[in-house]
Amino acid sequence: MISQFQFFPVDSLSFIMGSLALLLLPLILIYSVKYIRTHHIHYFIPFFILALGIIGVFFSKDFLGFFVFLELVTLSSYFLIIQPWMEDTLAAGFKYLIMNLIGGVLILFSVLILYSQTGSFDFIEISKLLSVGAIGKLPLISIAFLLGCLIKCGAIPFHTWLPDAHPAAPSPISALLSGLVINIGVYGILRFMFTLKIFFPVLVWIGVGSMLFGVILALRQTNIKRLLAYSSISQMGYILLGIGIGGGLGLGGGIFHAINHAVFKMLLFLCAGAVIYVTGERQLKHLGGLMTRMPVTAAFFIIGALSISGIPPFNGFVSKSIISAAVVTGREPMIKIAMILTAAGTFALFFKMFKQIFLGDLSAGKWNVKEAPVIMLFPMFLLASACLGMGVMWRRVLVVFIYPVLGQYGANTVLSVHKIWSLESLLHTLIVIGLGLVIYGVGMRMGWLGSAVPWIFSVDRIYVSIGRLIVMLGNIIRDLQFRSLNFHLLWVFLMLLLFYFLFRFIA
Amino acid sequence: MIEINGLTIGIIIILIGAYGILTKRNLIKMTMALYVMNSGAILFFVSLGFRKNSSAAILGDWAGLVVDPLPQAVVLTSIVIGLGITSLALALAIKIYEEYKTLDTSNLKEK
Amino acid sequence: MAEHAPILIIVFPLLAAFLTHLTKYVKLERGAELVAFASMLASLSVLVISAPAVLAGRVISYNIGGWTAPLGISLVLDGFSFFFCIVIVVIGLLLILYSLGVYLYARRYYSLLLIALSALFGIALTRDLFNLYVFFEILAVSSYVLIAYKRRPRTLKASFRYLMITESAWVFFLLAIAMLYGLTGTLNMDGIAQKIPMIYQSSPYSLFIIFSIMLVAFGIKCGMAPLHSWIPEAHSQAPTPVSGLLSGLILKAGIFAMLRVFYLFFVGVGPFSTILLYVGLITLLFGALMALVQDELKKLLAYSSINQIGFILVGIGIGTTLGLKGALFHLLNHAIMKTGLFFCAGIIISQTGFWKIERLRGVYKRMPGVAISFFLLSLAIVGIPFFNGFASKLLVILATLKQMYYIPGIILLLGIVISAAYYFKVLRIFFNPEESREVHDFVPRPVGPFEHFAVYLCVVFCVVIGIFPGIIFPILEPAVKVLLP
Repeated sequence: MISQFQFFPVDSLSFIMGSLALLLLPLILIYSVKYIRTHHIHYFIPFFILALGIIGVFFSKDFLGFFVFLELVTLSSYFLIIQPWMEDTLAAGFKYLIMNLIGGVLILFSVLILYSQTGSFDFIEISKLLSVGAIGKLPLISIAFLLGCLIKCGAIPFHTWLPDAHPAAPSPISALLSGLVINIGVYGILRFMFTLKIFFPVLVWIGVGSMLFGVILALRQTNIKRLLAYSSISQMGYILLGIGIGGGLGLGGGIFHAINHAVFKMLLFLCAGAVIYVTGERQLKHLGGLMTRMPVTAAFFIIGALSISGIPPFNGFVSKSIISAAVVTGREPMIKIAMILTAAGTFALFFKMFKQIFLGDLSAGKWNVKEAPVIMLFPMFLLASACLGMGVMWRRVLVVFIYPVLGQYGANTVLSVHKIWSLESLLHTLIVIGLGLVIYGVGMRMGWLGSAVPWIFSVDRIYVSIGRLIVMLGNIIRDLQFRSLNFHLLWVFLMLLLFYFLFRFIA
Repeated sequence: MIEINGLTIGIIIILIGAYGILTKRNLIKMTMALYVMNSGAILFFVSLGFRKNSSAAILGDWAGLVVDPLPQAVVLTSIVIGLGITSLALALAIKIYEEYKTLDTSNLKEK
Repeated sequence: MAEHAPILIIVFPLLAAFLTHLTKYVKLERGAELVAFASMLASLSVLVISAPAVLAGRVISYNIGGWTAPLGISLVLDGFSFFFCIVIVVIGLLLILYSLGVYLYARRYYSLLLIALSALFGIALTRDLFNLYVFFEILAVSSYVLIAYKRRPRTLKASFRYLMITESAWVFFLLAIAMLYGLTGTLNMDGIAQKIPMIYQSSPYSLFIIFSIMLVAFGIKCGMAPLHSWIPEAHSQAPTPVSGLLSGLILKAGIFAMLRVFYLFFVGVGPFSTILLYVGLITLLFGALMALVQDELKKLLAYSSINQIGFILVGIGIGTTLGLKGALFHLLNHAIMKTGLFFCAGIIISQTGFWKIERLRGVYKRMPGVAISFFLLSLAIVGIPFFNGFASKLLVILATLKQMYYIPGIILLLGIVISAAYYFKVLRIFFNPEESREVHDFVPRPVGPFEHFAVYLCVVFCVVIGIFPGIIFPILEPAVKVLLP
């Protein structure tokens, strides 16, 4: 039972996620060859283990394999995040490790209850049993699994590891984390969809919260990679929202956005990585005027930024339009407003980022900056063309990749696609751009966009204080131990009495 | 009314030892208390085999009333064990005294 | 030969314990070490010879001196004893292997170690309650001396504390034996087991007294939560192989005896297993929390032992076949892992001379092999997939959840997370590229190949068992079958 997990079932969900991983991993590998200058062994051994883990997660046939490879991913990415071995990266990595282990452990908890109820780990067998409705303890299983997946994908109340871990890691690893690793959480939710149905309203609101708060927090950041990390939280919100709404449109849009997000966020992280590689700077205020020095990177960055903001004809536009079409059918005006605000915020965010990195004056000491090496530009080129290609040929992507998955879930496969290129959606785009510019202008004027997030809003504080509390508890217990030998001998007699009375009263 | 016999006296001796081991801070006194406890347990055990007006099961007529020989055999072993442990504890106490120059457990600070 | 197996297994190390002193008169390089090794190999070969019969379900019993069961002492080699004997042999060989590099010509040391090992075999094999007590005392006496072997001040104190706490409980154990004898008229465990239901009808309270005494006595040996206070000092002050002996075998002897006695006597009688479940959870949380705030390497490992013992106790407390299987599997795994970890800690401490974790910053650069072994072993003990700890923890947790104990299941999982926290705290320091000045400046003392070999052997065991957990099941299943037929 323990060592018998199997691979290659493979349904179309595994297929699209797995092929996404298999296509994107080599790009990161190519990029890393140049980006990593020292400690190659410390980087590449965990990298390959991480690659193995990601592929294993997507291709495993049962929940045990899913969990095992998930742990592999967590561990190996921990070693990649702490790569420079500085105090802050170690702290970020520690937070990443603990929170993700808690997520993994929750998943294990639910998987083992599932096993004890059904006697099987297999996806297909379990879904068959579920269709008959022969599984007990379903709410408990689902809550634990959902929580685990939400921690893994960085949804809003559980996101705090994400903005720490992404900036700490080397850029290709941040790209990998954002593009593939947090998608594992989404994959888990999709895998478990059949039981999670009752929690979907919750999922919708978690998605909306992630979207809004992610983008608001992102707007205030000054570190490039931290900014991108918060934007990942926001985009994860879109995906969760899509899945939560469900139906053909929502689910299809969510999955499509997951793929798109992997592509454009990876592109953006690689661009940021190129900037960091040539300048050695991560703070926005120390950057500027790189347009003339790094035109190619700037072009790729624009493509990525337009995609993530949902501007046609790039891929982000398509998936966001599908999700918003799903929202319209769901008739939730609040969600609609939240979506527009988020899109505008995202636009403002990347406008700010582009302006501060590539426009303006070159900062002092950056005169000898050159374009990033070709070997780093090549993966970026491929990703940028994927952004464009998937945006233009979205119909083919839907037919080849998304429809089979929808069919698997029994959702309506014929998306009402005419809405995507309608006048309404173009108008929508214009509203987003205008609102984004307004947000940017007002925000810059009022100074909202540069200051650090007030400590009071931080969820992180709660988790950190829980951790402190546990350590404090340990300290208290330890201090209680410094007693004489007689005190410890007293325990022997007390335990004799205690066990005796326990026995008397229980028996 | 509890009958006064070997068993009850054994228990009482164990409790006296327990009192000593819980309240005394001197290593030697604690060792003594431990030995007292051990003696109580031994007395308890050997009293189990006792029968009134019976003889030792060593020689002669076995048909008559004899005490149970097994506790006696067992107790011999446990006396030896108790002796060994006590002497080991005393040896440790002496060594501790040589190192710390005190036998009081509360004065055995880190060194 | 197979019918004499039980006595031979005990006698070989016991004989060798005395032979080691005689090697003084033989012109032989490292005679004591050779004798020690040979005796363990002899016991192992006896075990191997009797393996087919035992694993097929046969019970080999041997009456000492030809006296049959109610009168004489009988030794029994069944699946359960066989399993524990295998643990003893494996860990014993590892300990002797490690000691080869540390203790040259220390006949007294090997003699004591062999006495302890033979007492452990005795505990595994005996079916006489008083004999069990005697073997435990032999084990205890030899381990007191072994802990105090270096005669440093703190060492002596640790040994004295261990002695006092243990013996004050084992006096009561003698009392419990006397009570059982008084109630049943026999000391043979099988004989007692037959009469237990009858006693439960007539005088249940005396049975409860006996039960609580036994629980406390074995609980002290295995480090149950409020009774654990001898463990951290003794483990951290003992010489490294003795720390391995304590953590790997002596704690496990307590668990073994608890299982043996309770499954013979009390299984249908009372809710002992539920109590054990909750005691195990307290032990687990306690060990985890204490390990989190330790700053000495060996003390951290000692508290981690308490944490893992909690896991085993929970597995026993579940009381199902699966739970027992997981608990026994974890017993074996933990013995190997913790012995290996103590070996690593021993090498690091003996080379650098530092006990505090903080001062060992960057140790990886100076001794990469040991640091990587420590890393792998701690992954194993945390329960990361592809290591043996994962397989056994999975079984225990699954057993817990199968019995609908959801809150205990969550606590077990929380224990895993906390153990990851404290082990990664250590790893962060070990693998830090900035060496501390002390680590940079130290002059390494020569470390022989034996220590490293022993450590690597532990790692190999962990990885092999982790990837192929099935290889343990042929000896695990007969053991569980003996307890729960």
